[in-house]
Amino acid sequence: MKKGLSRRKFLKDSILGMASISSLNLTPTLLSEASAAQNDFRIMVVVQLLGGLDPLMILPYTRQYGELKDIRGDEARVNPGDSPEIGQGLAYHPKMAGLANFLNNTFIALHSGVAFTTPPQRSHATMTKRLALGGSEKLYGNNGWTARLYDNGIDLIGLGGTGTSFNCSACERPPLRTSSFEDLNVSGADMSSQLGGTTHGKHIDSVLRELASMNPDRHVGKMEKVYRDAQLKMYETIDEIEKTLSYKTPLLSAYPTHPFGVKFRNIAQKALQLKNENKNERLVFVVSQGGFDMHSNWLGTGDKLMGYLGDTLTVFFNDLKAMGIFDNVVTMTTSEFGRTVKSNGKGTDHGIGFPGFVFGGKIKGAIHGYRRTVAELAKLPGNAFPREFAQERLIIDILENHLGVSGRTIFEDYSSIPKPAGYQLFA
Amino acid sequence: MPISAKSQILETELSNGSTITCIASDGLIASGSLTSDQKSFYTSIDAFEQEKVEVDEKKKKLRKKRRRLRRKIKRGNFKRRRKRKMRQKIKDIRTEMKSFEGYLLEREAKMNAENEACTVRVLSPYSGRANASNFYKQTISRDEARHLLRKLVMNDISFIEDGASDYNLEELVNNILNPNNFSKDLKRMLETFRDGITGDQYRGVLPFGRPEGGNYYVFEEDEQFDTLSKQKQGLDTFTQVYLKGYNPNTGTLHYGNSFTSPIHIIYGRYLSSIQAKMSHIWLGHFGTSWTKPDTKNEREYFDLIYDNSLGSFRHMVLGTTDDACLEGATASGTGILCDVASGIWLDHHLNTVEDRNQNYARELMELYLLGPTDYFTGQPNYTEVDVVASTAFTSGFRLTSETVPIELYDGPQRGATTKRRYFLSYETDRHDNQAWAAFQGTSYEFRGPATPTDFVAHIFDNHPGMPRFIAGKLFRMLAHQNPSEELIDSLAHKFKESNFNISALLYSIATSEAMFSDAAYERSCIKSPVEQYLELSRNLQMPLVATNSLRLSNTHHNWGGVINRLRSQGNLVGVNSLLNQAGEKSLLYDSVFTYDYCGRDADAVGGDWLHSIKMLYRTKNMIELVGMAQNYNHYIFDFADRIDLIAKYTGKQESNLEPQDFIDFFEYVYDVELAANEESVLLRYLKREMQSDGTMENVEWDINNSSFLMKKIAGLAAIFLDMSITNVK
Repeated sequence: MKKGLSRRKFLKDSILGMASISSLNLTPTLLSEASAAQNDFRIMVVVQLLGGLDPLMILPYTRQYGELKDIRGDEARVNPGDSPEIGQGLAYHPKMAGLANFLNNTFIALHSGVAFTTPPQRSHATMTKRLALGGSEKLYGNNGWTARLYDNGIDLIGLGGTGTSFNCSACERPPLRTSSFEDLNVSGADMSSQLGGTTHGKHIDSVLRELASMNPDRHVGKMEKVYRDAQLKMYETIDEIEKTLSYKTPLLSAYPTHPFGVKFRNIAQKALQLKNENKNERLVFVVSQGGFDMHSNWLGTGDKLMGYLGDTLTVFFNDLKAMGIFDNVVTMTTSEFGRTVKSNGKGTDHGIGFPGFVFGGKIKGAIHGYRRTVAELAKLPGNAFPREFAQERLIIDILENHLGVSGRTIFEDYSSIPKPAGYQLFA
Repeated sequence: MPISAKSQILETELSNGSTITCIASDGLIASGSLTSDQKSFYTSIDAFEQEKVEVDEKKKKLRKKRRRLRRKIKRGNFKRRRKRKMRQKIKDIRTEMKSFEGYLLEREAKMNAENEACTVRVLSPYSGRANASNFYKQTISRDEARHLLRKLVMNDISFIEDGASDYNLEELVNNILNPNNFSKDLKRMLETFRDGITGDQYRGVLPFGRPEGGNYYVFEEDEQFDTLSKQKQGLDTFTQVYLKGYNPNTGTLHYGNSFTSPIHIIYGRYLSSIQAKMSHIWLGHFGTSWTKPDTKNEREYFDLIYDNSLGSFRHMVLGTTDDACLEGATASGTGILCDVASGIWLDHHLNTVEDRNQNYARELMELYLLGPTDYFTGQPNYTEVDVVASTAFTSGFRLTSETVPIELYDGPQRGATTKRRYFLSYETDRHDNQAWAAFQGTSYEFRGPATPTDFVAHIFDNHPGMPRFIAGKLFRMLAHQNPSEELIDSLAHKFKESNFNISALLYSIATSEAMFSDAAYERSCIKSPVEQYLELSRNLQMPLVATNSLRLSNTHHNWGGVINRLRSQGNLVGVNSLLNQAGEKSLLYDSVFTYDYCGRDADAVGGDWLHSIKMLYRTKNMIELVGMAQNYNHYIFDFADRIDLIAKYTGKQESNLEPQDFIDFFEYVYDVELAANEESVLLRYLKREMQSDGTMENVEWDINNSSFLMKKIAGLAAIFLDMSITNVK
């Protein structure tokens, strides 16, 4: 929660803001839920799978080994028959098979990230920016959609490498960005023994804290302010992080130990903290995992990354269920664009559409706009899945039905975001 | 930002004693105080907001009227003449509404422009105009020279160590651009590794002299470093041996591996500071990373970038001749186009007529040569159709290899004496020789069949976006963030005229009025950890190599012993890993975006770089790096000795130096002016010490107490490394 904005005031403003606009298609249940007294914390996890996402995370289901060979060439040895069918003739990539246990709570749509109202492009730089902005630069300048949420009182935590982007430079104060909570849980600096050792290190640390927290009697430029804000946030955070990490979830030891697994372990710990401390926070995590730019080695790297995703999320959802808080958390995946369907020999190039997932206890299981047979895959125009769905629609629904924020306050082009017939995200 | 908030900021800034400038439609209104004109400017914006509401109301009424008329026409059975009149009325309404919209848009654009221009900033003491490319002036002050060093060479103050009060701008810039300005302590460092640590000039002395028959020394006993070329050769030999990639576990030497990364830091520390700065920029620009498991020839990639970093950009990309990359696998003078490490990174060798891989072709245009869109017009520099065509044009390279002798120094060696050397060979039967067309419909349309070098040379010679992209990027990274299109066009023109000579472009930027403008004076980029570390270590002459490791017993007089010890204890490889934690994986980037945030879009992503975790390690590790310089080198280095630099700067006797002199010296090193309340915190630090229970005790200022001095100078160095103002440039 931002300084100067109390939870009560935020909820009041949100409710009033939404109530004043009658045509917003808001769900009335949300408002009553948002004002519930206890244990009504809500978490949204935005998983940025960076590099451009292989659309064959979802495969035409077949037990004919090698049927995908025409599409992926000799390198194609993935057999969707190794994974359970998930409906409509489709299957997950075998490394994501564990997620099939949550099909009733998984919504899958074929889309191409955000910025639906602008033409899709295949450049990392352009589309990563749009991914963060939730639209074009013309609409939002440089302020990302999660940053706009943050400006509306939703707390924001980034767990990623340098790739995670909020585009939050315009935020009044910086959100927390780190690789994982655990990485931030380290002690201060030491000086070498000749220079006074730990005590001198602590002395320097105290001087730096004092300098960071004071207002210098001089002009502080824009970029220096960014730096100072980040320094302050760091000092605030390292004092708090230890408490979160003291919470032990039921499946704590079952999380994969790679960095992606650790991030979700930390999110589960934060969720348990909110539950046990009866907090009603609205919290958005932005988690990033890079490496999906698989122009080559789609089998090796692809298997590894799909495995990261499948293994980690499977443990995470089971952990949330075990804690009785699966309903409190919605997880959404995204990327800057999809990749081409047919192989370039070893991998795939930049494409358009990709499967986006939304998981959560209150999510209604469905597959939207993704029906393709192997034969159809081979004939896709431009060698890429088209864009069949606006990801903004999913985000808006999550904001309105889960976080209690009007989508209109976040997306200026709210009215032009299409809502396909028969579409329903929440059960 | 609401106008009232903006007024408030201005008032606060003024009360803090800042000088401000605020520019409205009628030009410079004032500096130094918030004038009534400025206040009326805000009032006029508030009035505009009200006007907008009124216009919206009017538009609503007109819309209603129009709807009524339309309905009437539809339902009523009017005569043709009447209908015509009614339709005319509708047209008039539309025109009226359009004029309202146009009026509002115009007003709003004007207001926004004024609002944008009316930013608070410190006025520079210099007189250059932000968008003027002409030569600034022949003679510049010492402060202006100091400013230039901050912008161009990571605060390398050695260029003005003569203490002159003014400088000839042309001479100073030429001196800065001279790649032979090495760090003053390079010779001493090489001699230390030639002789071992012995002799009166070193503290601690003996028994670590050069052992009889020992073979761990890099240099011959009588090797001299009395000329710059010998120093360069000496450093190359040292780094070649040290960083080529010796594996003490297997006793073998690898031609390239991740140990190549620290060479960037050691060159930056000891060789030319402008070359360090520019190679840092180019490494980020090309963005090659060796995170792929089959990466090869990293050292050649680094050398290619480093050696060309001040030379011809055309040579860096294509080679010394345009067709160098087509002339066989072992051709010399080749460029990035057939570089092995960057080729593997972007799958260049996998792009053939049979299997199209767009990775290299796309990034060639997006990262290397053009950028996706023009910075000023927003127009795409290439399309998806062009990506397909350029994939065909650049196809045909194959990864090949041969066994060659290891080119090491001529001293004793262990392990392997040969290596596999890899090449990207161009093979016509792998190349797509069809008549593809790129940039269709433009004046620089290109049609095949064509070789990869034909296509790249065509971009150099004909695509107008190419020189604009490079000139604009370098200007934003070195001078300021908001150049005008005219300014960049002028620089781009000069760049192309010079056949893409990087030094010529740097000269134009460095001597321009724009470099000495308010905009350039403002610190608008965050320093990378490598820059931050290099500028302090170079100015304080902190050793980069752990010389204490020379203290080995005779049984360790072999390669494995020395290198193993250096690696495990030494701060050379240690520096690299500590800087990695701080956020800059030198040559091991997470993505193609690398770290050139200042050149890319500082406003948008500057803050995204500063994760709490990176900030924590940036703080913690910089303190540790300062400690390591002392701890691993105490036979030859002591922070207390740096008192000579402070005395030289202040012109005082060492014995007369006061705490404030120490602070002033570091402010000079960083070209910053701290606030009084910041200085008082630092003065308190110098006059107190923390006790083991966390309490503070006053200490006596004792300039003759070397252990006290050592701690406090090192402590100040660490604090300045981590202060916010010294981390922006």
